[in-house]
Amino acid sequence: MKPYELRGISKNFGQLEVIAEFSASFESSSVTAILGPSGCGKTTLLNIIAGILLPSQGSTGDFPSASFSYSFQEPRLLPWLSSMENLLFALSSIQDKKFREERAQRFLVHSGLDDFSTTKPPKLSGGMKRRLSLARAFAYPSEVLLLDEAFSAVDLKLRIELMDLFSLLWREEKRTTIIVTHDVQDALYLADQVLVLSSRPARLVDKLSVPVARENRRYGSRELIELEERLYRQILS
Amino acid sequence: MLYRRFAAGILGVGFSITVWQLLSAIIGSSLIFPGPAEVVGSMRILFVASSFWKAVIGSMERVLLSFILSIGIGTLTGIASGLNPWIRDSLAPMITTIRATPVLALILIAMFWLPSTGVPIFSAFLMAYPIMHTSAYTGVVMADKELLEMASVFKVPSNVKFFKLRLPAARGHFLAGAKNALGLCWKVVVAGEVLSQPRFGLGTGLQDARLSLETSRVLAWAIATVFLCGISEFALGILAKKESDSREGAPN
Repeated sequence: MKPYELRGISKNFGQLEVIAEFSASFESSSVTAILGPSGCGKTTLLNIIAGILLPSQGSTGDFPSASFSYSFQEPRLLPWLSSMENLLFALSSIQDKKFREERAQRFLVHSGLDDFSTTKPPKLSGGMKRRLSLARAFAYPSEVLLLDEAFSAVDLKLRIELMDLFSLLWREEKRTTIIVTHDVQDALYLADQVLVLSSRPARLVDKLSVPVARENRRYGSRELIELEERLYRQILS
Repeated sequence: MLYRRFAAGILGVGFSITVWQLLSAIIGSSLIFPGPAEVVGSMRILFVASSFWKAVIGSMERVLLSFILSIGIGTLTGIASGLNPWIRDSLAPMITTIRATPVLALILIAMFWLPSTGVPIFSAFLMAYPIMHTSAYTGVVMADKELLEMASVFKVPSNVKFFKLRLPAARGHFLAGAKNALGLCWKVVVAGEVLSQPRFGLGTGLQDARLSLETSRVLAWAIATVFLCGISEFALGILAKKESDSREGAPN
């Protein structure tokens, strides 16, 4: 399948230039991590890909015709609906009720939340909310999956748990995935390709492929130490 | 915590009654300012009279009817305004006019058009309607933008978005508006009854007592009105809390 492409994307908010001349290619059924310092415009880029924002310049290629799942920086769950109902809410554009319910149930089980299907988000822990948000993104049968700092703001153990859950769900249905993160080790743990952005205005400053198969990677492994050093150098420079 | 609040409440009531008693003693005229004991005496006489309970039922019916009307119509137009700017702009002059009209002017005008029992209902409805309209409108337009954005990304159909996101999100504004509207309905219904004099009503009782220069009886009717208004607002508050807890999964 043809890769998705962004060509010469720039974005300004008034006088403020947030993204400058960003171009990249995203292989189908691959995981790309967009890495950059906090506040550099990563979320803006993701929102442009999702069609939430329009670019000031440039082309988003075939992205406008794609369907998206999005795991936002915050879980964005409806507090008055149960876990199951939150998944069904996101799947409500699917006509087939049986398919919808089976899919919601399947991803709830995969994310380890089947015992909490009737629990509402205010009664779930922070980690459970994140898992539910991930399950929702995977349950929605989209072509492109977008994750915005979906593993940040939690402790290391929970972060690795969430990333392992991501890998498990991703193996179930391999979709073109774009992950935005500011964490080098997260990017190296999950991605096939890493794109490095500069500080604002965000420009593409480096692009690398991760040579180790995802299932053989370990978090913080020394195997990827050279790539890790290269990425840190890019970010800190 | 509950004990502290209860004790503070008792202390506040005790202080008010003491001030009342002192003022009454200083003024020294039960016609102008009767003391608490006299008012309690009037209340005891009032509470055993069947006409008082008929008045309570009459006023409650009017309050309930005007409240239901304002909730029904106000919510409908408020939601429609929130969803459609054209409806919002076309209703805005009417809402502003109703809001700016003094309640007494409204009651006097209504007296030309309606029977004595209809005047309080109509006036209370018109006074409470803008509150419900604005609450429903605010609830709809203030729905969490991030949740709406999430719903758009997942291509959630408009009807599902409306019933599962916008309406529940408007609940807090709606309940706050309903509480204000209920209090206002009580005040306007009683004021309407004072002027239009239906056969049974708290306002009718107040006016009769005033005409007979029985100040302690006027105060007894007024206290009964305040008590009924307080009780109904309290009941609505409990209902709202119960509903909110069950929706958000908080312990009951």
